Amino acid sequence: MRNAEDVAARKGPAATLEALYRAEYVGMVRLAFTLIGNTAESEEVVQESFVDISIRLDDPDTTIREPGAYLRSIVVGRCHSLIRRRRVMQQHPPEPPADLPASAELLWDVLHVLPEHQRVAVVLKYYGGYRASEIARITEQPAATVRSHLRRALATMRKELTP
Amino acid sequence: MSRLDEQIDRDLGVIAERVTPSPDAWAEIQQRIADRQPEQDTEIIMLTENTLTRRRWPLVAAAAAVAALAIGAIALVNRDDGTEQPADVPEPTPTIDLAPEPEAETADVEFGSGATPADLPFAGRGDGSSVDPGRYTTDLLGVDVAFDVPRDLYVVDARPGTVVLLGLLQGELGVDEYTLDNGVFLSMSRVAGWSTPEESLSPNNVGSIEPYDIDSWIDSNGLVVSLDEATEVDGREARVVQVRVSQDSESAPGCETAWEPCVYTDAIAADLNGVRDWALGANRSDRRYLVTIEGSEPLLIVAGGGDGSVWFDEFEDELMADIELGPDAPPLGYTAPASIIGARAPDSTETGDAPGDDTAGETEQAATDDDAGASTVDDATALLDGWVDAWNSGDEAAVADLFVPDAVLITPDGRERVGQAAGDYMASFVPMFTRLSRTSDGVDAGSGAYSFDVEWKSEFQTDERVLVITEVEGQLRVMDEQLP
Repeated sequence: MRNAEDVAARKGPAATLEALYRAEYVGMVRLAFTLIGNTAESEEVVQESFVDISIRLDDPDTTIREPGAYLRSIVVGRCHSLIRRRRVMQQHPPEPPADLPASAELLWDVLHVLPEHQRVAVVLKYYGGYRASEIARITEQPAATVRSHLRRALATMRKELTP
Repeated sequence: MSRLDEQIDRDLGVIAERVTPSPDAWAEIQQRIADRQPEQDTEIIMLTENTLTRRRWPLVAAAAAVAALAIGAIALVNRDDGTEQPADVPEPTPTIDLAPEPEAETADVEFGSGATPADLPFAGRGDGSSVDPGRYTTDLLGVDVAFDVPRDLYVVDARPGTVVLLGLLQGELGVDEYTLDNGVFLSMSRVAGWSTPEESLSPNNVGSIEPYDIDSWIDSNGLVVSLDEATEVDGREARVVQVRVSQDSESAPGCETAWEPCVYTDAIAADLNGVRDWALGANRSDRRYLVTIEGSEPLLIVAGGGDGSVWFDEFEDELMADIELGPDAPPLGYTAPASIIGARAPDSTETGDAPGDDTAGETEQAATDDDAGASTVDDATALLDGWVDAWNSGDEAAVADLFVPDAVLITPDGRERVGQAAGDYMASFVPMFTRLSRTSDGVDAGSGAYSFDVEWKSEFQTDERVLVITEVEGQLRVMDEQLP
């Protein structure tokens, strides 16, 4: 398979990071944006996540079997941290991007009132295209918990989004 | 996909597309790396001109459609969706020689050819390793299993207690459409208990149905049985059932459209330290072989594919006919703590003494069981409390020393680290998680294992975990278990 794991095995950490950047950066920023709603913070989160994984890649005693999966976990974890920090600072949910279509703006509003774990599960499932078992890996939760988050989130969203 | 699914999918895409990442991102990352390591020369990797089309991120290729069948059994790849890269997003021409795709091989394997089987490559749990057609053996299930791989498949999970192979019978990674015929899987695991539907939704990995009582599992999940008969697998007593979901079942979220309705269902895999879960659909079947292992948990072999697919018609019967099993033996290693498997303390007396067998693996297992319980809950508590103190004083060396020279750390991803590597790994978290607390008394989990609830706190987050501590013949094993 053509992925960062192959590159890691063949080319070493610098090339792995570069391959990871090419494959994941844009998607990661967009994923982070759907979770935290701010472009600058999304880039900050993802860039710092790349720094984290760079350090791990450079560590000769550490083997990262799946850099892509590891990166996704770091990004989601950092988004969690940011959301919690906002909560502690009692910041308001982010404003939606300008000129969103009405239905997307409604989704934005619903998304940002969902509990954090539910929001993460929904974004990873629908934007990321992940299945519950993958989301479980990324968020380090049991798959059953993820499915429970999804069920509850979808129940809420169905109520709020369906006319 | 329901209208709600479509709406969420579409509008999330609209939202995400509003973001245009900085064209200087790569340089900024390099600068951040340099800032973190001021004492080192940092190689600045130059990227070249952008000519790549945008890769839709992340697109789960056809293998992933199959992979929803089994936890962690997912192959993730990027697919070029043919849309143009936004002008200000840096995705340059690759300068890296990527590994060539494995050449497709035909499926004209001679089954049961008597060739010496190769060891199944260890893949851990992840995107998978390609396996060429041939005969393989695995010792990850307690009972050695040799089997034929009929064509190129992917090993996506191969850890103590579980082996999962996935394959596409048509196409290759990157195909767009999943069909009922193109996805197959073969999973093997040791079952310690089956979950009811309610238990499958529980975050606590509970499986209250006894492992040989597959009827209760079928009934509780309302499954439709199209085959149920006694059989043999390599001379062992076995039972095979072919099950699917009823068309009038309520579908669980996240189903493949072609499978709807579908349900998720779990079994507890004792030495996997968690659950093995499957999605079962109305339009394809699982054929489940429950093989009796004397004095221990059954071996479960699940072959899944579309009804009428070439998998069932041509491969599956022959594969099962040619499976060879080693002597009866208990699952490997880990025994889940009672608190995780629904307060059913594992029976440590049912292990490791299959008559007439003297394999190294069994001898080792028997020794493990005989010596289990050498330490007490007080010993384990004192050990943990001392380590907690070291952690909270920021003493990374002392944190690491717990594992030196040969203690084993098992992390939630199933990886094992030993000795200094384990110590260094844990010590690396000391600066981030500055506070560690033991939040429960030790729970006797049987077989000399004690589980403790702990809490790691960083500035921004709290991680609640379970540490399972076992000492066998003086060797410490610490399992770090994630809780929701």
